[in-house]
Amino acid sequence: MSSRTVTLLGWALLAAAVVAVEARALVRRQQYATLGDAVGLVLRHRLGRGIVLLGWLWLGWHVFVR
Amino acid sequence: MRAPVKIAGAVVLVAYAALVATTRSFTWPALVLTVIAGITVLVLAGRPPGSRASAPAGRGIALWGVLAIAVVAWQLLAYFQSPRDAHPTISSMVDALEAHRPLRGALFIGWIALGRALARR
Repeated sequence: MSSRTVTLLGWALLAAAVVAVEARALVRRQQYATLGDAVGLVLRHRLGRGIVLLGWLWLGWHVFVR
Repeated sequence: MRAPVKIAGAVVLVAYAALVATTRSFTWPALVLTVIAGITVLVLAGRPPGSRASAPAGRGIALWGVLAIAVVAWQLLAYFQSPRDAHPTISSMVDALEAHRPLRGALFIGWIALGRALARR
């Protein structure tokens, strides 16, 4: 198995884990936190909100400008 | 928000995304268009006064933290290895997508939508 395959497999497993955890939370909304809930927890605090929004701006610069 | 305003907003967004899709990385137009869009989203989509993000529901918050750490760790592991083709990072995979202008435009719309959702929470 090549390094590229191993790396891509790792990404695929992480993506699958994110989807599975989110799906579980959406099905059992009262029991489990969704990704939105987790991000919302960070956004409730001023510093966290600043970091997340700056991170979003950086993401745009990184993808579309750099 | 009324339907005509929403439709007009969507049309403007698609047209703007199409314009961004024509730009190339490392150019002034790409920088200016992206910065203008970013600031506009943060100003227009800001959280309504008096609102506050709702408390998170239930268990699993820590699991999201673990997943975030795992993603960052895998990204760093790939980033510090070479060649890039053998160890793709999130950036290199996104680069492959945005080489196609329609996908670059679609990614831009996704980025705007994400920013709006974050700013309004």
